[in-house]
Amino acid sequence: MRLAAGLLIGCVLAMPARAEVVSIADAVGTSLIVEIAWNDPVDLDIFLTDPPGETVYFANRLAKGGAVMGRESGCAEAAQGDGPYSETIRIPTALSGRYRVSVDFIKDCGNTTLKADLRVVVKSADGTVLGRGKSDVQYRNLNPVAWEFDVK
Amino acid sequence: MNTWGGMKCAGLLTLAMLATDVAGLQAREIAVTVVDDSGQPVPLVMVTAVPAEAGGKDGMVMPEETVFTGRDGVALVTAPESGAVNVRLRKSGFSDGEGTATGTAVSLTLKKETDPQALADNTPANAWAAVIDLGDGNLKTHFRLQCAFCHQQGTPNTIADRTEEEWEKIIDRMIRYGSRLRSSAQDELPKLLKAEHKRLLANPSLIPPVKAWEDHLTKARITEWTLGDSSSQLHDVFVASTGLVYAGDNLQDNLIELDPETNISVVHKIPKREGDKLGGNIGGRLKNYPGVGTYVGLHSLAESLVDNHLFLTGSDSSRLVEFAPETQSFTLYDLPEGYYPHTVRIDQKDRVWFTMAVSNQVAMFDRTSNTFKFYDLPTRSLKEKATITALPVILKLANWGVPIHKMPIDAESGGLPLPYGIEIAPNGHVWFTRLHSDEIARVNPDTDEVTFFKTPFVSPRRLRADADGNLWITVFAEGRLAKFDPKTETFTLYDLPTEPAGSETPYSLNVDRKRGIVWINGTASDSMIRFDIAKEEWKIFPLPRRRTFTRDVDIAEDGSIFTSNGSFPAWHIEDGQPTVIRIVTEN
Repeated sequence: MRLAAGLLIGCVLAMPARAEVVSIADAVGTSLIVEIAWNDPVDLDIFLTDPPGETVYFANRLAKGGAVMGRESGCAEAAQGDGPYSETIRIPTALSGRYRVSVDFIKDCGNTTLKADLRVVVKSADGTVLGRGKSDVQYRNLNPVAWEFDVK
Repeated sequence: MNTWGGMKCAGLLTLAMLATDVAGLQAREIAVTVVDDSGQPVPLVMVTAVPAEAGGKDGMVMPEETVFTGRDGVALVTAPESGAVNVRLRKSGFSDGEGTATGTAVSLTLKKETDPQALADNTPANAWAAVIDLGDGNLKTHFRLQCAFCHQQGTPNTIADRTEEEWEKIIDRMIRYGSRLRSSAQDELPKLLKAEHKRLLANPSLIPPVKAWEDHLTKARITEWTLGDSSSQLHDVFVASTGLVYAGDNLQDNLIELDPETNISVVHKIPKREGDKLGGNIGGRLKNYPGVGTYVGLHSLAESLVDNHLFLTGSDSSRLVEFAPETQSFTLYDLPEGYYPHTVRIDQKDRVWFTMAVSNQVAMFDRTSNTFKFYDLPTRSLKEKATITALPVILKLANWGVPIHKMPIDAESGGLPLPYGIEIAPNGHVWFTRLHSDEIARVNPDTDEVTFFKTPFVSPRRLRADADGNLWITVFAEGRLAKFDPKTETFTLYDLPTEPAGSETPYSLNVDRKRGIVWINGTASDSMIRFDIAKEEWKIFPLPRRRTFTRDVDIAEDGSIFTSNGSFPAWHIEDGQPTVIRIVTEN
């Protein structure tokens, strides 16, 4: 049944959204927080690939470049509230170069949602928003390039 | 002169002869003396010299050099004529040591390590993986086959304390990448892995020791070039007739060329076609990788001895790719049928042969007529035949994002017999393995006859022929080496010398036909393994970086070997850095 639904959504949906690369100036060496947020009660996972090419996510919580996994939301959180739900990764000392945000729609948590819309925000340590974007991800898929930003 | 002295003298002579080739520049020799806490010399210490400064020219990669101390605790490393060199010391039973050399000599102290946790942390992954108890030998073998072909098991990344839910997610992602872990194992493993890793992390003294290093290492010199980045995967490596070394970055579509004499590297980007999709057109397997940069997928390399062009398999685009070194240009050949061109070899008549792993075929590209020939291979069941027939539809659905990876997988990895390694024998016969159906097979190009031989072991991965036409095969999940004699049609099995016994997962091998040596990838144990065919003698060469996952080995004219650290993902590697590695031995 689930496979059939997947077939349907696969046939009707376009490829995941891919936004323009955002530049964040004067941020090398500063502390940044990357956050994804979504409203559907499902389990999305954040991935952040740093300029040297290492990815931080739930199974690699600390990169050699310093980025570290922060807040996580799974099906337990989806069952408890109305959302929005969010996950974060902290970059204690931002490196020069491109960061890539990827998002995996890993579990539906018993819901019928087949595509989740999400928001991506990069903030400084004091909460100032330095960049924001939108994306989406299909059930049981990774959107490898949900959003990218260049730290300069 | 005693034996050791003779060996040492020959080793020093070799090093002295090679001491002028660092970056093609003037070089100096640094004498590194290693003593223990009590001031006694420490033999067989791995000494790695890392130049502190970059090469200075575009594309120059200053190599790291590794040698081993003799009984006097001294090792001689070559380094650039000037500048600081960072020196790392490594030996089982000791903490890693480090220092800096600015002149031509440095003395360093290596401290004995007694903390069980630290000792276990410094033990290669195969020792950790060896003591993971899944309660069922068959499940453990299946786990080794399906969970250890991208990266090592038993590393800090894999042994981490995780929840069952996290293991479920990791396994789900692993299946998307192409693992054929049977459905029952997908259900069982999260609980088992959580419990086993927790047990081992709490009891580091349970991690067994690995084999002690031996005297032959004093004659070895290991050179390592850092290429690509933590999103790269240097899958296969090839030594061209020009002496240039090529490595295929499977995740970024880069053919990386390295001149080991000058240390200059050049990156050749494989072109994509309009409409190509990130992650490839074949089910989008690699689009599940966050750092993905591939559209073509570069897997295996071979060279035409007619015009020295390289032929590469573009696995994730189902293309054959030709690279002309003289113009540095690529030609793309879209295959008229089939999926996932895998390992490639070129025969004596300049025909390009390759396995088609997903569509269960062997293919041949005739360069004179520019035509392809496909050999459809038998299936194991009607269900498997139906699955392979339906591949165009299945892969199209996967491209659309339909989660086909959630379809049930049976114990035999049905639907995917997986033609894998391929080799051209001296008599022109083409041999290949089928990883999941436990077979090797021969194609007679003159008659098109295909003959299968069932292996008395599971998981024949890659194979090569020796000068006599015998086939040498890696037995991946059982940690052994197999020989097949085509004349008698018999197999001989050899246990690899890796300790703990049976803990290796050898991905590939190559045969130095001129010298009668089989070189085997010690994929699980950060090593390369040398087997002298005539003497039936083993030698293990430990590699400098922890979590060095090698998938291929090629042999240069002088008998030195080249391999690459192709861990996927690369961040499992000790410093997250893929490398090309050369080992020079006494031969």
